[in-house]
Formats: sequence, C-alpha cells, structure tokens
Amino acid sequence: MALQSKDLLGIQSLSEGELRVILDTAANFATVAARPVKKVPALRGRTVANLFYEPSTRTRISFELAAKRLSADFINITAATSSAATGETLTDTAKTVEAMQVDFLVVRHSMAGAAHQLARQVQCSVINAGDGPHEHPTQTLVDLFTIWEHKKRFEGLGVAILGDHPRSPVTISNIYGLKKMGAEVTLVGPSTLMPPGIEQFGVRVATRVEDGIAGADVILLSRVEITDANRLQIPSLREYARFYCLTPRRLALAAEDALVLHSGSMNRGVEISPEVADYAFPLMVQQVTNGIAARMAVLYLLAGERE
Amino acid sequence: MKLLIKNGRVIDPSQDVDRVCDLLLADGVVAASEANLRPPKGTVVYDATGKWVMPGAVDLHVHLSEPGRADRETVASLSRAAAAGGVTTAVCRPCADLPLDNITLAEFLLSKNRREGLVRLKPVAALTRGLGGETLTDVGDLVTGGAVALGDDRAVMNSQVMRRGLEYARSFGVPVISFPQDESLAAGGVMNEGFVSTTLGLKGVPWSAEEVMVIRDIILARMTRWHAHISPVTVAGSVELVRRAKADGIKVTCDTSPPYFLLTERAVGGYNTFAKVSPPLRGERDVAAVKEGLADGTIDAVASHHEPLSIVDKDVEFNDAAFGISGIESYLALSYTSLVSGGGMSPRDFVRLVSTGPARVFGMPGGTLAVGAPADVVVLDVEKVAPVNATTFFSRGKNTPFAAFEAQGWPALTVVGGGVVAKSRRLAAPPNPALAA
Repeated sequence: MALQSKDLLGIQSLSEGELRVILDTAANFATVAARPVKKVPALRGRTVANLFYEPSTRTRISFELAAKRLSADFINITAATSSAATGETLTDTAKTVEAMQVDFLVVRHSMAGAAHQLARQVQCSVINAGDGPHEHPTQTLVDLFTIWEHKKRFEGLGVAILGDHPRSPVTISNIYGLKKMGAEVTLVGPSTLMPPGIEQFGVRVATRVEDGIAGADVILLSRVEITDANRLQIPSLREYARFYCLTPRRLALAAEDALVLHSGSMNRGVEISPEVADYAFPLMVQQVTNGIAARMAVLYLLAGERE
Repeated sequence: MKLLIKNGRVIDPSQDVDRVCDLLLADGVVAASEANLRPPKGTVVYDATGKWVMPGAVDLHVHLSEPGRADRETVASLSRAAAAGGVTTAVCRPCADLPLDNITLAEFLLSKNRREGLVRLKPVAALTRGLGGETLTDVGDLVTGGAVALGDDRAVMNSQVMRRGLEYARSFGVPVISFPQDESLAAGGVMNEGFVSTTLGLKGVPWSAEEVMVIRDIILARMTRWHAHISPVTVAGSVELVRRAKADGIKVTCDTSPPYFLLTERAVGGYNTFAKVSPPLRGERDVAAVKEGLADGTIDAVASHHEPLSIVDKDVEFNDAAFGISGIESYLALSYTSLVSGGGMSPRDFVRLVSTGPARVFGMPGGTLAVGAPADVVVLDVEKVAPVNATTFFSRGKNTPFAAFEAQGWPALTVVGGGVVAKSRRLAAPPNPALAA
C-alpha cells in the first residue's frame, strides 16, 4: 500500500492504514541503521532538498541523514524567515527549486500553512518539517514509532501530553496520530495553554498535572519557555515548574512502566526535573535514532508512490 | 437627458412601493412613476420588463488607495467597479493608504471624483489624527468639506477619545463609526478563534473581541445621546446587543457585508488568503444570527466592505497576507442570492438593506425613487445567473473568495444623476456631469 498523497503535509490527512504502513517501514529501516553499512540504494538518483525558513538543527540533520542513507542526493537551502523578508514569494521559491529537478522538498517554516501553499505549486513531493504551531508530522511519526517499539499497542493506551500547546509544533500532530491509532489522549496544562476548541479533538483536558498523568502509559513532553508570545499564558517558569514539572513524585502517579518522551531540547527544571530527565534520557536518544528511520520511511514511501 | 425605464417592477421601500410601472427620469431627478407613461420627445426608452427597478445601491464601506497605493485602487477604478456593481453612492472609509484625516485629502478625493468618477463618492473622515486613536481630527472642517460620518475604520481603543468623539460629532450632526474589534483581544489573530483555527495552526480573533467593543460603544452612545454606527457586525452576540440597544431607544445602527452571511471560517481552509478579512469570517451560528438580524431590521445596511488588494498583498504566507476582500462588483448579486433567492426575503426588505437603509444611516440623499429625488437608479436583472469572475472586475482588486460562485441578480443598468453610467458591463466615460454639482 502506498500513500494517498504526493506530499506529507500533516497527520490529519493520513489514514490509520497509512500510519501503520509508515511505522512498519520505519521498523525495517531501523534494522538497517543497526548494520555496519547503514546505506541502502532505494533512492539512488533522487534529490532531496531541505528548505528551512527557520533553524531546526535536529530535524534538518535527521532528514539529511535519512536521505543519505537512502542514497539520495541531498542539498540544504537556508532561506530567510519568510517570503516577506526576501521579497520572493513561496511560489517563486518553490518553482525555482523545482527547476533544479528536486524530487523532495522538505520545508520548515514558522508560519502555519507554508508547506501547504508550496505543495499546491509544485509537482515534487513536499514534506512538512514543521509549520509553526500547526503540524510536524515526522516528529509525530517518531513518537508513534518509539511508543510502538516499547508498548506494541496503541488501542486504549493512556497518553498525557504536557507543554506549551499553542506553540508546540507537535501537539496537534500528536493528537491526530494518537487518536487515529486508538489511544486515549489527555492534554495537561493551565487553561491558558489549551488551544481553542480542543475538546472537539476528542481529547481529555486536565488542568491539574496529577489528574492528567494518573495512570498514564506514555507521557509526551515538549519544551516550555517564556517569550513575548506566551507571557500572558505562563506567569513565570518557576510557577510553571511548581505546578507542571514532571518530577519523580508525579511520575510515580503514572503507570509503572510509563514511557517518558521529549520532542526537542529539554529545559531541565522547567517541564522535566533533572532526575526524570536522567531516567528518560536513554529513550530520548533512541527517539533521535528512530527519527532517521521514520524519515527514511516517509521518503521511501512517497518515492514509491511516484514510481 | 430624459430616460424612461419601462415596465419594470419598481421597488422603493421609502414610499412602500412594489408595483410594475414606468419610471421617468429627467433633468437629473425622478420626474414621474406611473403605469403607461408617455415618453416626452427625445426620451431614451429602456425596457425593464421582468427586471427590478430600484434606487441605486448605497455602499457604506469601500476603500481606495489613491494617492499612495494606486496599484490597489484608484478613484477611477473604484468608480468603474461601483457603476458595474450597481452602486450609485460609495462611501469611502479612511485607511492607512488614505487616512482622510484632513480637509486636503477629502477635497482631493472629491475633486478627483468630479473629473474621473462615474458614481457619487462620499468620504468618511478619520475620527483621530493619523488614525492614531489619540487626538480628534478637525471634525468641523471635514464635515463642512463633505464628510458624511467619522471613523478610523479601526477600533478607537481609548474610551475617552470615543466618548469625546461622539460628543463632538453630535455638534456637527454626523454619526461616528465604531469598528468593533478590541485590539488587545484580537492581537495577532488572522482568522476566527476556535476549533478551525486550531486545526489550521492559525492564531484566532475571538468573538468576544467584537462584542466587547459593541457593548462599550452602545454604552457611549447612550451616554452621549449620539449616533454610533457599528460596522461591521459579524458575531451572533453583536446582533443581539444591537437589537436590545435599539429596543432601549439608543441611537445605534449597524451594517454587515456578504462574506459574513455567505461564508464561514471554513473558507480559510487550505490557507486561502482571499478569505482573510478583518473582522474574520465566523462560524455557522454567527452566519445564522447575522441573517436573522438582516431579516428583522436589526441590521440597517448591507455594505460591500470593499478592500481591493494587489496579488502581491495576498500571494504570501497566510499570516503575512493583507486583510480584505474586493467586494463592490459582486456584493449586490451575492446579497440577492443569499437573501432573496436563498432566504425568501421580500424585495422591499432587500432594497431597504442595500439602498434606503444605508442612505438613511448616514443622512445622505439617495435610497428613494420619490418624485424630485436624484435620479440614482439601478435595474436589477433578477433572473440572470452568472459566476463571480474576478478576472473581469473593473476594480484593481481581484481578491475575492467568491470566484466561480454562481450568483443571481446582476445589475443591468446603473443610472447616476439621470445619466447612464453602466449598461450591462458597458461603462460610460467620465466625467459624469451629475457629479459636478
């Protein structure tokens, strides 16, 4: 089974079947990574371009390695922050890159919808590597893959998500992905951090962290920091940490074998206590390794679809 | 010049008229309205059988960008678009390109229109200098120079400024327009706040941003005993607040425009920047409430909310795209389609909303076919069904989310001051002598 679309713009438009195919494929590529020779010839002669309008070192390198391990040619394009900043429209940029006969365009942008707007203009496959607070589908695939490796099930799995949800690049994608796979999702945080209309996503909302993580099988964390954008949503990091930081005592409320995953760079002492960070660190490192396999799966399946 | 419009269905809510008869226009005014009129010698005859004959549309909300951004809209292009759209009086609001905060700008607009325009153009003057919301403009100057209302077309956040603005405007007899959007609640928002904005990852403007300002300005209208015109109302709660204020005898009026009763926030899906407008497109419940407000008279007028933009303003990331919809050429047909074809509204109520009502709200001539009134008339081909086609807009702004939308009820003839300015899509050449007066 191939993927329906030429692009991977979000988890929202993927079916459960497509998600399973991607995860199965990722599992196969994970075994490749364990070999001394980590390269397969699947994408030989294809070209993958990273088009990053904002820096994201992990995601950029992960895609680069994924492309290279599939034997694709790879280029990095660092753009300005937006089309307004360059004066060149997304459309013009996309057409220019496409004229270089690129097969995959991996797009990172701070603004929601940028990858969608680009994808409409080009024939090549567009992969959304994060469009602001909208979707970050490959990160969700990494999380799903890691959860699958450890739990071997999604149905009925209790997942608590903590973080600065309106700004987290991955909360919405994770909700889509986990719900499609049959998990029960609880969004944890103060009411100011609950995205508008969140109940309509079929998730539970917990403003008390103890309620949110009680019995959870998986806890997903993302980085919390204070910027101009959320100053009125989080009074201070100290206060956030006091009420929402994942401490050993709080972790003890979760299921005994609960997984703790973190989707980016940690802010130790804010969303995660140093003790829990040390406990969970091996798993986070594994997430990074899995990230390459998941992205290889996406590139491989999108290429297959275009044969 | 004399023009006899024969055998149309003459609809004039100002006289409570809806009957098939002839309408004679002579010397720039309505000369007679009777069955089987004998045309005097030299009269041009237009057969309006099967069509509606109504006072021309009075559009309370248009923008143009001359001088400054002539690529968006000029007086000439706006006027051509208005004529084609069945608008005989267009009320130009201030905007950043054309702040209309001093008499020179207002006079520029009017003199430009005398030379290059086809339809009547009335300026709304800024309430505050530079649209800054802090100090009042020279209101008396501006009203004497032709301004029909005051308003910055953005919220005046300082309540004391709004209060004094209403009080001062009262001495000069012009209403103050309230743009109902609390800037702090709306900050950074690019569409309606809710489930849909979250699925798109876009920052929202909550309904409360509008209602907070509606209720504040109703309170200030009550306090100052002066006329606040809320423009536009887009959420259910605003309609209800205005309904109650009117019942309480407070001097408040309001308008809305077709995007707010034909589209919902879902039109933004796929990051369609042509559906990005301020205030934003709302939810289904709001659309239903706006329609109810139009039907029961709570809403006084339908305006085009014409904000012509260049493709450069729209072909960017959704967050960066400019707000606005080019509406003047299609809003009459869109309103007819929604309210009459789709909503069963009476012809009199429809004409009240697009012509008689808006003329009254700003105390302007027009909106009537009474004998002796200015001969501003539109013949509406209510049978004609055609898609909205932005590529043929006379307006420089092609930014419409209604492209290919099948609309019914298009203007067949537009007459301003007795002179035909548009016949189907053929336009007269300016100047229009009727505008010299």
